[in-house]
Amino acid sequence: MKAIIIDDERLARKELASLLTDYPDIEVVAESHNADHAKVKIESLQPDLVFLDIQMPVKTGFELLEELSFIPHVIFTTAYDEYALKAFEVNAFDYLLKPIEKERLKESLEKLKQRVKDDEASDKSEAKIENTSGLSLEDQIFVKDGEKCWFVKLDKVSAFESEGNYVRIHFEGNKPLILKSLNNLEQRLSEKYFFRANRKFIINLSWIENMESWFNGGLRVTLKNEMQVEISRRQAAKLKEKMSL
Amino acid sequence: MITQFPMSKERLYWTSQFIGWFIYVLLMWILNRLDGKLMNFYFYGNLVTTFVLGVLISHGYRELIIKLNWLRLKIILLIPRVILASAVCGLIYFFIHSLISEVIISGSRPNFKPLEVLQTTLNLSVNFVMWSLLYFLFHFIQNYRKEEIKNLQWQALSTEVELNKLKSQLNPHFIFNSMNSIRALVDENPSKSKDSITQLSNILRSSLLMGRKKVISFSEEIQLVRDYLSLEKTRFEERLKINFKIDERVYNHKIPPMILQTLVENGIKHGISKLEEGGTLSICAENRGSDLYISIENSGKILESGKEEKGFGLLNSRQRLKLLYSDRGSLTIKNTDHNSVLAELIIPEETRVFKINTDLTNKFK
Repeated sequence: MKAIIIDDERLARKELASLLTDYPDIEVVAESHNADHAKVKIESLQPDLVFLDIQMPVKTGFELLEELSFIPHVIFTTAYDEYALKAFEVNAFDYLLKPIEKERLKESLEKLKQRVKDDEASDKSEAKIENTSGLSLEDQIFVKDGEKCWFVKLDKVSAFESEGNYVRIHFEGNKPLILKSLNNLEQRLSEKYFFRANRKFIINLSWIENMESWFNGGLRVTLKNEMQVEISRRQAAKLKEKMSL
Repeated sequence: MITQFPMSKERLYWTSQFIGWFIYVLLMWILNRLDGKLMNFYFYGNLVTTFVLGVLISHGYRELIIKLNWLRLKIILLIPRVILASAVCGLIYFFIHSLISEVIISGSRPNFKPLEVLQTTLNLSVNFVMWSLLYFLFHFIQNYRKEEIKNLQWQALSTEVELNKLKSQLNPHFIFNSMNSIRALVDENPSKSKDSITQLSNILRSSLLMGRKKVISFSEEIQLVRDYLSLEKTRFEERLKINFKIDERVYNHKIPPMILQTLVENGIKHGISKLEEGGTLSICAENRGSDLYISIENSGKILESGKEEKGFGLLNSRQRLKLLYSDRGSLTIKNTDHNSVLAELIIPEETRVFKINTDLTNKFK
């Protein structure tokens, strides 16, 4: 497993790296002292795991995550502010308190390995091995809306809805807003799984439950969460083509 | 400081009763004398009866007041009760008095005419209304004073409690980050790691001890700051540069504990630690007249939006200065024109005098 350690303090990085020498299967491929440097490293090295300090100069760990287009598994490291992590709604992450306990690190790594294994198993069963461009259903994104944070796996997202300069993400009953444009998002998402229904919506194709004819040769799609999205005639043709595959 | 009455409540009551009724009887005597009335045995008997009846009936009335807890009543509820009770007392007084003065003393048969009964009872009731007025007025004034004393004590106490709360706010983030650095140092530089442990112990000890004091000497505070800064230096390494410029004559000046420490911590937390390349922190202290002037300058910038984050530490320090020195101390903080933040502290020689009931303070500890 490839890992990157991100912390602004040299001694803190050193300490963690020395703790990780007990785990030969975890290879520390880079260390970063700030968010911008880390961003470059993450995008180029595509690690499986990052150890991320939250409090850093210029940009915090959260801000780094918001900027990433590729989100590896994250283990937060922090000296004290557990409360910052309480912001997370779903326990889709782990954190370590500095100074780090050996036992606690072991636990975290085991939990992580188990999750990676589960993910791989489900990937195989659904036969989604082929590499498509853009974010697929197995990828996760980091969402921060005010005080709340989520790691959202894209298969949980039913739709993205444009609201002015923001995009509302519909998943598991939550509807946080992120500061992104729908066009920008469309480019990042894999066409295979996501479809631009109209000016306002991108929908997750695997969430479609029902389609019916609508005015002017358009379609009305009902998603599994009972959301209804109208599709214009032009887009409807594209969708029919996609679905008939 | 609850004022104790020179005599017990019970004794005070009886003395007032006797003196009060005696004055009443004395007035009756004087008025009758001025009127040129006959001062016979019947008249003196009447006066004695009045005195004894007055004391006894009003005492019974007081028992009733205590038993029914009328002192707790609101004035609106109290007034009708007092009027009714006074009327009843007047009536009782009238009958007993008539019985004694006419039947026993004069030996004649009582002859009650309704109008006369009503008139005399009303007259007598006024006496009891007056009595009530004095009685309740005394208690109200006494309660008011007690409340006022209690309020003053609360104010002094809350000032003290507030000061304690405001003291010693060592940043936990700093403690755990330092521990983490020290752990890494154990392998890298064992002797430095030993020094760091000593420094951290000193800081923890001072922050615990200082919490109990109102003021400490500048030398104690600066020692804490030095230990603190060398630990931060261990964490930030070459990112942190430190300058001291301290006039030796200031070492004995008293200052509120942790006040300099808080500002230095702020300078690092919000200034230098936010900068990629780090920066310099300079501390300067000198006498200005009888005041102590301290300045802390650090690289960085106060952002308008960052107000909230900085707020607590500064507000806290300002409140402490205000509590200790009224308006004579001050703390200002501003951006300079060469990319740094300057905090200036002025601390007078003398603190404000506190008058606090120590018994009460101890109770709340």
